[in-house]
Amino acid sequence: MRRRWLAALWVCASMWFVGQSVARADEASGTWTGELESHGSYYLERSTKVLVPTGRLMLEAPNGVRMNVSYLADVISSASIGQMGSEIDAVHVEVRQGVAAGAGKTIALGENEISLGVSATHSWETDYISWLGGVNAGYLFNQKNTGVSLGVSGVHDSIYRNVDMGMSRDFIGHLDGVTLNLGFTQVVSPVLTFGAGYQFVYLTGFLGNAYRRVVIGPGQPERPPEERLRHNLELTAAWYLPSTATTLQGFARLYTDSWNLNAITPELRVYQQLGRDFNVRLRARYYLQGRADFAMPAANIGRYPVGYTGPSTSDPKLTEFDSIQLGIRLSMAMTALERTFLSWASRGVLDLSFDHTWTTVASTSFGNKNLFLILGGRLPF
Amino acid sequence: MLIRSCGLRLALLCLSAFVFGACATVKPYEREYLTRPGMDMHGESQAGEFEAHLQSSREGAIGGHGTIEATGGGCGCN
Repeated sequence: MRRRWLAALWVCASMWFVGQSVARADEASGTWTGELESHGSYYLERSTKVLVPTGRLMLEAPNGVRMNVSYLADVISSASIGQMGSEIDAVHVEVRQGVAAGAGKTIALGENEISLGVSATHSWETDYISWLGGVNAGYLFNQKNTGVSLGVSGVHDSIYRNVDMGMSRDFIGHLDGVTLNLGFTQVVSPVLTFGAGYQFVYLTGFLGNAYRRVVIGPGQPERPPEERLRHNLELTAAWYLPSTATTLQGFARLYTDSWNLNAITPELRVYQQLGRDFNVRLRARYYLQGRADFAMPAANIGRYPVGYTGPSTSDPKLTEFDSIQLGIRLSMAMTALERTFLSWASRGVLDLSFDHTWTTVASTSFGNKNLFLILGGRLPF
Repeated sequence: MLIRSCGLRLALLCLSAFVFGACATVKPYEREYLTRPGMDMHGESQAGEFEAHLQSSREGAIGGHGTIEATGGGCGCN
């Protein structure tokens, strides 16, 4: 029923946006513009490899309506899932597929403008089906120097046991959630911008992992609480230095939730333009979190006293740890193709990025480091 | 305690910047540098989304960075 409600909401909103007519720069010529984007991502840690090809098509109609569709295939091979707590290692391969669509429109109101949008995402794998839908609105004023935004989204997931692992496809439970996003942006000067955002998330239902075990005497499935409230505060700033064509970007996230898990995430990015066609982005990210109040300390994850009956987990991401992520991305504009038979691609950009993360939690199946590689590009038309 | 103390100071610092910054008005013809790489906070759209998805399966805190949806899609992103 909820799936139908979400689908109907998205279709109705899309039709309303498409039906609107506000004069745009390219309305006279009837020109459609857009961008094609595709990336291949590779993630590696001690017991898990992930390979993800993705594609996205974005279009803007002559009347200013924006639309996008995207697809991803998430191929995960994991020894930790295959192992399932036994002493015998095994590799389990699973494919998650996802499709997403969205529509939006920006409406000029004198010197100001308002933008409205809707989005929907559906992803599926053998043991997990997810539906997401959301609406958002933004208002730019003060000669477009100040912006506020509001977004609301909902999620409805269904979790099953995995037939690929020789189990019957038993239904385990639902996970439902609502997210509220509030945003604020301010252009401070021609080279400086600030932003702030607050996100509230309410989740209820099955919030554990069907395959994780905890030790309370004999191994049992983990049993976290069935409700979680998350609070996120994010602060951002970007500063451009014209003399060196360098952009400094700072980001900080403060997080707390009803499981008493607190975290802070500062991040610094440096974008450096190299000549006409190249841009290098360096990044350093630090992540520090405390422990959920029902989780055991990192050195004793998932081991509870015999007879313990409260909520339990063996999830490494619910215990205390910190991590450092360093990354580099090289972007290359394809302007060299301007005078060739591939001139249609000369406005495109190719991206190659590499990230490495080190974490203090070394005694889990996640390992204490991972690699992340992305190769892709964007082609405006 | 350390997290809350550092977080509070950072929040106050940035809030002050917003209050003072709100007085400024940058004209349309002064916006050239605002289009440069990195000045758009959420410019690494599709690659950034997948990275956020990966992080949500390995970190207890998720969200921020312009994330619209709460969770979902498996991966133990609870």
